[in-house]
Amino acid sequence: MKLRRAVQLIFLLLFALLIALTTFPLKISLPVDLFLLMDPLLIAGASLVTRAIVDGFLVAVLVLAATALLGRFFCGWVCPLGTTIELADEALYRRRKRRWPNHQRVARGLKYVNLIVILVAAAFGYGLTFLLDPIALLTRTATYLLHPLVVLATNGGLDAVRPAADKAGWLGLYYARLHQPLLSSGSLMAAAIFVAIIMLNRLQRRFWCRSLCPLGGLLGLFARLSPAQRRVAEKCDHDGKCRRACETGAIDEDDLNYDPAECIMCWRCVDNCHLCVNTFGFTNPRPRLAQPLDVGRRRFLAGVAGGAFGAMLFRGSPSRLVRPDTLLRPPGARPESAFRQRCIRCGQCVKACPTNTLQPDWFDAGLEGIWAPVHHMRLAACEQDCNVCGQVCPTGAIRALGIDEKRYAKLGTAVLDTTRCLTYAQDKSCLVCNEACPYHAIAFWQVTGRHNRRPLVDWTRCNGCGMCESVCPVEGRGAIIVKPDGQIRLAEGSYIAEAKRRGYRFEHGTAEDQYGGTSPEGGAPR
Amino acid sequence: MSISRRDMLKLMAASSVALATPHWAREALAEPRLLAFKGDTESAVRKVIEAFGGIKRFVSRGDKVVIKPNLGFAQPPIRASNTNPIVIHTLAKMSLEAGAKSVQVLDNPVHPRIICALRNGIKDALKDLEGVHVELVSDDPFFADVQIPRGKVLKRTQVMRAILECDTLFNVPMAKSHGGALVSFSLKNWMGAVKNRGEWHNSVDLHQAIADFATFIKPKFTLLDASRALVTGGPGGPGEIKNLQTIIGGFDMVAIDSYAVGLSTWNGKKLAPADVPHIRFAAEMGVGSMNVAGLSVMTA
Repeated sequence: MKLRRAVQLIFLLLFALLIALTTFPLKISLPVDLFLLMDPLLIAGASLVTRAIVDGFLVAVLVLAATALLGRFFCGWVCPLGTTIELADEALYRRRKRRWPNHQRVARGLKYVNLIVILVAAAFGYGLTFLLDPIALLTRTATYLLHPLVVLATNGGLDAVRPAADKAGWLGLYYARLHQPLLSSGSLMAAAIFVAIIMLNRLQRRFWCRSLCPLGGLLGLFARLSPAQRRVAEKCDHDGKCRRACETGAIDEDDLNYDPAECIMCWRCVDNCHLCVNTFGFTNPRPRLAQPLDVGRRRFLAGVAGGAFGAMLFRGSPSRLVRPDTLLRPPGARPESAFRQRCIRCGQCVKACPTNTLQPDWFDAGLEGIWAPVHHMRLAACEQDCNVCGQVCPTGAIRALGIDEKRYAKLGTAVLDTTRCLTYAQDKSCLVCNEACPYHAIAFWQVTGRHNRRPLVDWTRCNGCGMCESVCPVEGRGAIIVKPDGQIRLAEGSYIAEAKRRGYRFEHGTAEDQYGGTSPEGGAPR
Repeated sequence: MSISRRDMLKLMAASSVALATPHWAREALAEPRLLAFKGDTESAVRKVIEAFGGIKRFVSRGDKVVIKPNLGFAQPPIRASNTNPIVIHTLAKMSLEAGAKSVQVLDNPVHPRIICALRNGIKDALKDLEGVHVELVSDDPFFADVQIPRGKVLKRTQVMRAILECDTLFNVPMAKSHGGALVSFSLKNWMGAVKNRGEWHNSVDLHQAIADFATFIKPKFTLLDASRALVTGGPGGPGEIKNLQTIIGGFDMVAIDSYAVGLSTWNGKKLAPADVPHIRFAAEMGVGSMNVAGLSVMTA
């Protein structure tokens, strides 16, 4: 149906556009996380896990209400992952014989199990929604995988035309080069999952949507209430065209009965009926057979057990007990456990980050931390006049802060490795950390008997921005490293007030001022 | 040439620089190694260039001109952490008037280039000049390996291609204090032309590396912007800004830096040229002379 495809494409393009616009500085007032906010599963998970009504709750309720009225239209008309799967299916598998006939109900109950796992884990206080939620999953694929690839390809093309541009004197083209986001293990993992979801189509069309998608499960439950029903006129000749055309195999073998929890309102049955006996409407001339829900007692219990087990698995993770000192969360990230609860690993903060300092975590924070954003200060520092990560975070895992508040959301403290710092270890002249520090938190002292002055970190002035670490000329991991010590993580309230209370001042001036130009204790700062 | 011999001689008389050699008479008739003008920034820039023979001496019709200012930091012009946009604008405009085919304003900044571009205000300041291209360049494809034949510790480094390939290269640093190099004037400015400057710190002596590079790079002219000097908190700032209202031009980077050292205290310290190792090293290697005693300042 052309109308449906047009609507699907519009939503897919809008989705792509919003991701493309998730940049620093943010140029639009439209919420770039629109699709994430429309996702009732994310909202339900976040509300459960935080025991609070989260932003977007009303939108989610509206989507559920609309589903109760119109069925799983979201899956068939709106969901960008559904559209992607459908387009990929048409390109790759349309003529292929599938593993199972279209109408066969294969593991349809798994999507409910997944849903229950997510909700039970959330009730235990652990956010698992990110793993299988389709919108989070696709956003993550776009931010961690597709965006870096698109930029890589574009820059490759620009590199190829650069010599010609140089000859022609087209300076704009000669210097054209996009900021290159990075590919990481996290991208690879996102790619593997995405490819697997596409390849599931070899089993049955939109197998993911039929059998695995927890959002599909949630919407399916509400779609069962829908008065909008498919009806089939008496003169149906049962030739099975509708049954075979159905995107989700919702039509039974008799061509008459169908499952509204499976139907995504694609209306392919209507389009493909040569007798025009298939229609959709709010009145049903035939009494509908009651469809059993694809989740019995055993599956329900499996879901509950899975959710509880997942929660236990995370609770017991060593990274919860001993937090690794590489774990620098973005400025304004809530206290760690609240942060993990809320973060849905959409990667929008990483996408928007103008310096690449934010990267998806691999397993530094254990299984639970995968894909969550961490600072990689060696790649780049946290830009002091940027607060975009909090602005684009759909769940408030990173709080949206003004620039002033954000600067006081101390990430950690720079720590000198005196065994490797060029001035300490080799008495070389180096000043790069001091040169780069925006807060003059690195003082340089002349030490008796040494040629060159040495740096010393003033912890009251260091907000952990990582500028020093990013520029340190020592090979490898650098001789000055930001550690999470002294980080300020607040669930609510002002970072400025908290920082001042702790005696920090991230202001401009010179570090030498406060010690009167000589080293503290008069000796070598070690 | 827009300056007469008579004017030149007047300037000579006023600037009694480089008279320490016994061949003072010959020196006095030769060109000054530097001139400092005090006054309105734009007219000071114009006066300096004119005093050295006018822009046409440096820029011929159809030339590819590169201006290398110090745009190292993501600070707005008001913080005086980067070369004054008025200086760059004036020089770029003069170059275009002299028939330059293109004028590129290039630096490899310390702060991330995207952020620098958002904040340094250079593009805005130059947007009325057609043919001027501002670019902050940090990526590999824009740099080429070069040998430094006379380098003592720096034997090779990677320099921005456009700087190597242009017809006219202007060195347009600003005067600022520097946390480790003590001062950052015209010699230190070249660190923004190279890619792997981290090695200058980590494998070799920084001051010697700066001096080594000065034996390699041959700008046609150096214009040190001391209109507003960042006398503390450099190089990134913010720090104390002194309105010195001075523009210094010349061919001898060592002399220019030696002269500029005396303009202020730097991070609160009174320095002599020889106190700054990279200036001393460059002088020892014959890049120029530190002797600037007695130079007086012109009023623009």
